[in-house]
Amino acid sequence: MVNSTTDRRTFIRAVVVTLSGAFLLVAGAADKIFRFFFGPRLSRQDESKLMKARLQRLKEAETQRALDLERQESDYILVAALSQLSPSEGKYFIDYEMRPALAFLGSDGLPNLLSAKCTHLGCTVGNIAEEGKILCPCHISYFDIKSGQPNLGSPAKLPLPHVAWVLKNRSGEIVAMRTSDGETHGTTSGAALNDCDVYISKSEVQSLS
Amino acid sequence: MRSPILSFLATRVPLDKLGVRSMMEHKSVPVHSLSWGYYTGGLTMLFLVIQIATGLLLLFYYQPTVTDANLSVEYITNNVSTGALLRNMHTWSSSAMVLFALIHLLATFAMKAFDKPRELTWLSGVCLLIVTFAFAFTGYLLPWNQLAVNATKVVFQAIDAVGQYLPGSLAQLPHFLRETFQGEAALGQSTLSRFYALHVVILPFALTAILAFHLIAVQLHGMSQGVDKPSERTEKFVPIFFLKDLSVWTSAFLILAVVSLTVPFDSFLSFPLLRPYNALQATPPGIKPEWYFYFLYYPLELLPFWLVLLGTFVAVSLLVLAPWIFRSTSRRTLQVMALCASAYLFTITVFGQQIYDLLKKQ
Ligand code: HEM
Ligand code: FES
Repeated sequence: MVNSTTDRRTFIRAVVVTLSGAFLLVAGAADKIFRFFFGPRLSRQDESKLMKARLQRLKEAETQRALDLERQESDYILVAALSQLSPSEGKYFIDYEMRPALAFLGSDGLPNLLSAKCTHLGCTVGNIAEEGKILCPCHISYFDIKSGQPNLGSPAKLPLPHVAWVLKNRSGEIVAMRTSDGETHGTTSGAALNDCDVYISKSEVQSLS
Repeated sequence: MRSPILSFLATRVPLDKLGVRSMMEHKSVPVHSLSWGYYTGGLTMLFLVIQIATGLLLLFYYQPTVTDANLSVEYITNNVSTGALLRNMHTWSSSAMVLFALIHLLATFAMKAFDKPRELTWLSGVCLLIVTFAFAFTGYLLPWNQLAVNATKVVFQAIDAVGQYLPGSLAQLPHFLRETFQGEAALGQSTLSRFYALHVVILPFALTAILAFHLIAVQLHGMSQGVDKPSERTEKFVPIFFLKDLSVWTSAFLILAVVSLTVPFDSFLSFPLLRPYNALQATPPGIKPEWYFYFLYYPLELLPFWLVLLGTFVAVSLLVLAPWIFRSTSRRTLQVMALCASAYLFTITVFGQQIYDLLKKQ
């Protein structure tokens, strides 16, 4: 039976109880709320640690921005010194289209550059080559670093495309190069390669000149 | 002579009923086996209020730049008074909000609450659910860790892939959308700024406006009957049902508070996932979206892309056109459909990984 007086009484009572509950909650947490807005006061040590971390992130961002600018302005981007490349541990770099890519040392002693953007769903492929294969961890695709081809049965069906490179010596002359279809030109062995750096170029270099 | 558009609107948005008398005094809630469905909307709203409160507080310390975002989130967690609790609450309650928005949709579907004259209420509800998902997706990127950025990349890639299935010049649309939201050649500061703007300004405005319409429409029409045979018993909304609402909200808040105090939301994530994002690193293994995207994620992993796309298109069309498609369907049938949908959502969300392993082993 609906009885409007008891109804009203229960209602008012319940509202009062709820409001007092909310009030107690706020009162109990008041010092926390105050301290939240006031902000933490760190010890000197913690403060320095934090500042160092901030500076560190800023430096990383600086490197990144410098790379962005380089990509925008220069016709060549330095990937690494040839002597730094390894056959089993790839070095990550970002290509002109801002996609991740990997640089290995091929068995011919020349750079082997390939895209690191998985042809399945675009995760970044790992850089450790075991038995000549790198792994995309997202859905387990192995890619052969020499051919770029995925293993049979991998979710990825297309090969990782190779990236063209040029080798320049200390005086900035192009010593050797490879086009994206895999043709190599120039001096490909000997002492001439000793001090060379690996670059990628903005527009494909077609021939040595 | 009234125009058909005007009379359509007049029955759907009967503003002449606007007033304390008809909205408060005469509103009543039917009592029947599905009555619990009437709580789900209020619960979703409770979690929204918690999101707004905790989100506004997080804004005091969060810094939306690629250099500082991750560090500021760490600072909130480690240094700010009750910062860890706030973050934890914001994340747990976002899960709860999505969960209850889904349950609310299924319950109202089963109760045929979209039937005339409540079509617009239903449509605004579908929009609210989509906005809620957009909230969760954009918020996810803000801590700028490996998990966040890589997961967002994968979603962008999937959006790009939709293009190849669209006809003619439409094929460019997904690509264009992706570039717009990404803002620069790779995921970077522009992306973070855009997601931030969406998450803390644009989506809140959108949600508030749609929710206002949704609530007014609910008030104007009163509660729908919910079952095929209208029940004899009803409860007055004020005060009886409102009191019950209050006690449900209090219990929900209590549960949320206990969970947020005791279970860090990231305790289920393996370590490298939460390191700051680094463009020069492999995608860490084990990246997965939040549980509330599993219903889309596992099918994407297991089925051909076009099939999932088609399924999504059909499902969204069904939701949008439900008031017209199911006009003469009985509530019994709708209940069965809602049950089937729930069974699918439950199975794929809870056992998705097992199903994936089972199918992939063969
Ligand atoms: C309208 C009010 C809201 C504001 C002002 C807001 C603000 C914020 C801020 C500043 C962050 C970054 C701090 C952090 O990551 O801990 C964040 C993160 C997040 N937000 Fe919101 N938010 C709001 C609503 C929502 C809603 C409605 C949802 C979901 C349904 C949501 C889901 C998330 C998620 C999943 C994160 C990532 C949490 C994390 O990993 O730490 N937010 N929000
Ligand atoms: S994205 Fe590399 S295997 Fe799926």
